[in-house]
Amino acid sequence: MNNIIEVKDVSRCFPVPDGDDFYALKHINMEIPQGKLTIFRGRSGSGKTTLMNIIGALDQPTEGSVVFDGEELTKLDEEQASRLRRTKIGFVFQSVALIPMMTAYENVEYSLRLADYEGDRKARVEECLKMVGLADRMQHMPEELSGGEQQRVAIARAIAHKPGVIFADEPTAELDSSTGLQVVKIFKDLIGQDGITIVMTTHDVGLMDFGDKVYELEDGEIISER
Amino acid sequence: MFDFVIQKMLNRKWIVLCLLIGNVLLVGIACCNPMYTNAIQQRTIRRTMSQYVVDENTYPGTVILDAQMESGDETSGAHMQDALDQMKQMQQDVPLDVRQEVYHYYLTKNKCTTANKYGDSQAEKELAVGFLEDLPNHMSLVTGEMYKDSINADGTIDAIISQKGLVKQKMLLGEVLTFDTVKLPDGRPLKVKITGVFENSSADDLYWVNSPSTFTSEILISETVFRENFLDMEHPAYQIRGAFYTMFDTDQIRSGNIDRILEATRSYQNHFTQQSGVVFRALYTSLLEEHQVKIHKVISTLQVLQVPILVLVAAFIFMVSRQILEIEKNDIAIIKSRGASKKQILISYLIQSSLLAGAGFVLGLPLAMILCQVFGSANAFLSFVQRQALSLGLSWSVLLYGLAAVLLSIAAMVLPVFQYAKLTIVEHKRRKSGKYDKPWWQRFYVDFLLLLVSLYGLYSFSRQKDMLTQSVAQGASLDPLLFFSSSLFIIGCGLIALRVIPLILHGIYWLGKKKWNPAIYASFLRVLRTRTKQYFIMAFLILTIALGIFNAKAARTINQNEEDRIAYTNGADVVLQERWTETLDSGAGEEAEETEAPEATDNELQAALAQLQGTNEEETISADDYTEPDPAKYAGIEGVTNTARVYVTDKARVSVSINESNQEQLLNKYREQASSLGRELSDEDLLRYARQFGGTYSQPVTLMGISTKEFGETAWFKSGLLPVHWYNYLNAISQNSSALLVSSNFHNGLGYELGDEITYTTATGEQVRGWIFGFVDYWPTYLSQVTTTDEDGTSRQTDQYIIVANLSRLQAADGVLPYQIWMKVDGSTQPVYDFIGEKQIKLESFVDTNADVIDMKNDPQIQGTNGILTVGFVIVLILCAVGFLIYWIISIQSRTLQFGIFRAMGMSMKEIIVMLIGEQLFITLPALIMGVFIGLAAANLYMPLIQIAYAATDHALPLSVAAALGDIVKMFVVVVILIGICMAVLGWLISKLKITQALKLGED
Repeated sequence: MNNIIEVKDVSRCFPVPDGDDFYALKHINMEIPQGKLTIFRGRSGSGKTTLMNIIGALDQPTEGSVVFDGEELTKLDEEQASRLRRTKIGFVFQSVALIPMMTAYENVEYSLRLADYEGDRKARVEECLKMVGLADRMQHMPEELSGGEQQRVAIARAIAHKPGVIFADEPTAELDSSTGLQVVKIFKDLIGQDGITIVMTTHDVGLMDFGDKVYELEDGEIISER
Repeated sequence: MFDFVIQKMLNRKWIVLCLLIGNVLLVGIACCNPMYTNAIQQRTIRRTMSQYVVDENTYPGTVILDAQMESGDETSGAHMQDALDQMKQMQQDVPLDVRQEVYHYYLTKNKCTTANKYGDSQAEKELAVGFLEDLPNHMSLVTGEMYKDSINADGTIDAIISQKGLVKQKMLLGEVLTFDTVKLPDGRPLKVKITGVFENSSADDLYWVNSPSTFTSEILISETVFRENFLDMEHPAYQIRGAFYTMFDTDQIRSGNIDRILEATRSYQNHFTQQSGVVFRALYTSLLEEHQVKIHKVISTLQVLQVPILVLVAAFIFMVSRQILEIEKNDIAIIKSRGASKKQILISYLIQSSLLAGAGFVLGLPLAMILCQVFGSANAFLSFVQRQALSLGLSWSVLLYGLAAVLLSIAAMVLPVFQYAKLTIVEHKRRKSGKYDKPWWQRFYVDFLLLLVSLYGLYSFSRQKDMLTQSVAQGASLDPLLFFSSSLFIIGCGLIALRVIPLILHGIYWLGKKKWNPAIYASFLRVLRTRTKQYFIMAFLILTIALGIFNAKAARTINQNEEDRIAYTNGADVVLQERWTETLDSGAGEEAEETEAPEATDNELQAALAQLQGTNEEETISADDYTEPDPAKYAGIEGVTNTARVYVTDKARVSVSINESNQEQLLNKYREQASSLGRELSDEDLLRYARQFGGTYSQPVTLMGISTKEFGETAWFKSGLLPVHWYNYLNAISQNSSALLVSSNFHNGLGYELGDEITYTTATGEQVRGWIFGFVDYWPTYLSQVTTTDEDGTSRQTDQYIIVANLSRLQAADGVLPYQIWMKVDGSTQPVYDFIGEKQIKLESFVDTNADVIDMKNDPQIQGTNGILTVGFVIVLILCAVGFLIYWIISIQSRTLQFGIFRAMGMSMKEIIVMLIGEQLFITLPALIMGVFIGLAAANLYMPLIQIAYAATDHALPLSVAAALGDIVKMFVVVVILIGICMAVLGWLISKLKITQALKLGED
């Protein structure tokens, strides 16, 4: 099994006003297999979002290194990290994170613009929105869509530029269970069709079974791995 | 509640600071008008008063009561007593301190005889004998002794006399004068012995209303002696005059007490007009009355100029408080959901607003003082000179204006709360998702309506332009509606621009929809889709810029036109005429007062009409009376680049023979002359009269003799006034010594054509022939019409005619008559003054254009206008800066999550900044451009009308709206610096922003 991401001895520490540093992550070692659904599980404050931000090139570890598709993330500068994000990574966030002044279509298309997508953008956007079941709501503004619909647009946006990895931070947290299930199903379909790697954090025990690999975190440490 | 509000304000210290700035500015501007007008009033009063002292050599605070009582006439005695009492009473009623009072009584001139020491002949003189109250404290003896306070043993009374009196009356100390007609109470004739000669003890003693040198035929005796023996107002036995002078302290005249001073003075004036034998005169009344008319004009002009600035500041406050509410609307909604009533929310904001407005009031007053000093030293737009500081003070009117500003500000701050206080969290969420709505003013076409109203105003004012000019010339101030109309124009156009700008942006967006890079694409969408949020900042920018430009243009235009007018009417930088002879008495040239007869007799009419032919001889002058001083000496003065000899006389005439082509126009002149004498004549009668006088009409003209090259190099003339460059006119007449340039009314009014021969009579009475080489509408110093205002206030316009001839031709005919020296001076004119002083050159006249311009700049109306326009412009820039910054800071703070998303999607920091710059450009640039155009349009449309308020009575030059390119550039530089600062602040804000934190913020 190929690992697309390898995490070596990563720690992340936040300075705290009273002097003691707070370690959100403590010496984490892990691998993310390519083309699989990896789940980080843990309660809030366990460090799973911090970990995801680091391997998604949004944040830098204070110690250790992350190799993403052969590239050492800690050695990238701002500009390189941005390029990596807009070409190889797609994000889906817990709360709805669409750009409010753009329609569903434009939100998806925007990630194509950013990634400088070469192909037929219109077709790709429509394809992605169809994939998440929103072909008929493309011209709606985010505020006219329900929470689930918005989250699906966010997924469409995350996959549109065909990134290698999608990071989804609690994508189902604000959705009811059936919609949440629907989202995870879409993820599974994507893995099946395009061979995308998906990393998802959740605290929903019911979703664990979908994961090809599950890391459980507590207090910044991996306590179990399956 | 109070603590809560304070806490809230501390949390938002930056934006609260902006709001405070707005409040301070509002109060400052509101208060500086009354403060400035009060102070400027003080300054102008002081200046008027000291000018009066210089011109009239009399203290302007003087009130003179002159009363005379006749021997045996008890009424006249009572009148004098009354005058005295009233004078005392008046000193109480007029709210000024009395600096000095002088009581002067004297026995009117009586014959006296004196035994001259050196001979036995009896010299006879006429002398007044009087006394001045308190004289011993204001005089010193030149020689001799002071008078004693009692009659001497030998029956004589001691008296002193002024030095001049001594000389004029050829008297000697010790001389005894006998007044046979004046008997002492005991029946003996009055005998006065001259014991001393006096002079004033200090040079600037107000006591000497009439200086000692005016006492040439009066001798002064002791007050006691006079009172005991002569002064009895109940039973007057002598003819005695009493002159009572009260000198009020003019330094105490304030804007606040002028009305009371005038009112009190007038009531006494009225009282005394009914009293025979009493003359009352208060020197300051006419000065103060003129002053009040003038100051009223200043006040109304300033108010009108100030209103748009006030409105802008209030709009700024409104905008900032709306921004605060925008940030706090979540809190409001939450507080409401937790049970706070709308009233409680309103009260919390009311407390906040009152605190800010109160602080604004306290800080605004000192600001107003600073602004006033700026006003006082404004010399032109954005330029200042050192002038004496204004003495500023608080008055009720200042506090009242400040209070009004505070209320306005509170209203601007609390009003938007009503809108937000209604929101509950549910409505808030719903509202948040609301789609773009057209603002109310777009739905009801308020913008077009405003524009229409303003254009109608412009149209109707333009139609009454002449009437407007006339009423202003008669002292009225310009209709504030005119300024209001220009403000409406700016607002209307600004709002229309808000419709247009999005359309243009949309067009540009569509042009490259597929090609825009992601950052610019995002900026476009942001600007186009969240329009309402940008409307206010856009409108604000457009209005501020437009007003700024309008102010700049207005100030420049007013100054430029005034400066041009002065330079044009003066002719050159320095125009002087030397006194060519010592003996010439200029009094001969004075014209006799025209007598006004309601119905003239035929003889009078004939005489008057004959004048039109020039048949009645005027006094002429001759070159023999004069010797020409060397004109070349002026050329060497430092800074004088050119000089020209210019001969000007208004004693020339042109005899026009009446023919078919000009008959109608000329007969009209006869008709006017006749009707001014109250006679209406038929055409036949007019013709009959005209023929009777030889069928000619004699037109008085101004004759100017120039040496073309010198003149062209020296005189001030603006290009564009004549159809071709004026040098062409000069060249034309330089080629032929008989060539003339004449004013256009020779053609329009007298029927001359180009090339016609013209015969004119010079000041010496010589008949000179010439040919018309050109008609001119404008020529240095030439005014085509002069408005004269009669004593009864009706103004009349008279056409002026000018003939410009070659100086050599005139000198050949007349000999060399006194001419003026015109100089072009580079830099200061001081060397000219020095030269004249050094060489002790005696001058008939001297005109310094620079000095006139400075005088003009010191005029309170011009000065105040420059001040307020400059301050307005600066405030506009401050508001622009603060408003702009605050808008962007808030806009960025409220979009943290969005930036997080953009960053997570892979946008680099650079791209985010490009996106923000794009947004700034799309919002700022069109607004700036629109603002500039609207400002320029408003200035070009309205300035010709507004200028009327400042123009002198005679429109010398056509109005030109001054270019304010430099100011526009200045404004753009400031705006660019602003955007730079803004970008720096924003860049700093954004770079502080951690993506992960931004995203986390979004989770709340």
